[in-house]
Amino acid sequence: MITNPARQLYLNMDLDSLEEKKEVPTSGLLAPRKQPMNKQSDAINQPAYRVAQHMRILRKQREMLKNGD
Amino acid sequence: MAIEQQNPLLDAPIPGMSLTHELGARPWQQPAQFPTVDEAIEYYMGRMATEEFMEQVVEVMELGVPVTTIANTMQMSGVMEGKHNIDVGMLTIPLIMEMLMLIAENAGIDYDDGLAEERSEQTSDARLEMVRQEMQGRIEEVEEEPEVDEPTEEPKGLMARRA
Repeated sequence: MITNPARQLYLNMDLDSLEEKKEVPTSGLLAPRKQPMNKQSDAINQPAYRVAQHMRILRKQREMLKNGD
Repeated sequence: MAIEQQNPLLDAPIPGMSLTHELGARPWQQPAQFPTVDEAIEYYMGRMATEEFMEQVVEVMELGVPVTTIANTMQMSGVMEGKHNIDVGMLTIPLIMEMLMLIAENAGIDYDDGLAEERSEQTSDARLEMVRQEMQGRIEEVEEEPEVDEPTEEPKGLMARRA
């Protein structure tokens, strides 16, 4: 029985293959800003994705510390 | 098919334990203070960025308590205090761990991240006892005040006990 799921949760966060938010290029004033048919993948809207983004920032900081930057 | 449990779980709640108090009397039975992951992250990051917290957590990590244990304890106490629900807590654990590791590396200490291998998920009682004693010693050091010898008056009454 798992009493502390922290290890599994941490290892399941796959930060390396984190999907980047894509900027949709628009041109002109009347260009559609949102394209309902080309919705970004659902993963981006998940709270876990936002957690992963925060984690990536912290990990970069850690790597900078390790490298002595 | 049920998986047979190797060791009996003796600290599990007994049936009906949740009904020993009026419904809603416990903080976790109330609506969560931070219902979304974003709010919970903001709460934890704000709390963990304080100087006081960093000093304390560095001491605990220096004593050998794994990051996984600290992170799980933190989110569990958040649930018990009614700050957020258990689902939000689970989602915030990896971020809490990352922040704890950043604090430890910033302080330049050796720490156990608890990720190395699949092992006993519970921190050993001996280690917890060691941490408890260490913290108790520090509390006693702070509380210890220089003793002032006060002149003791000898009891003079008829019924007073004689030395």
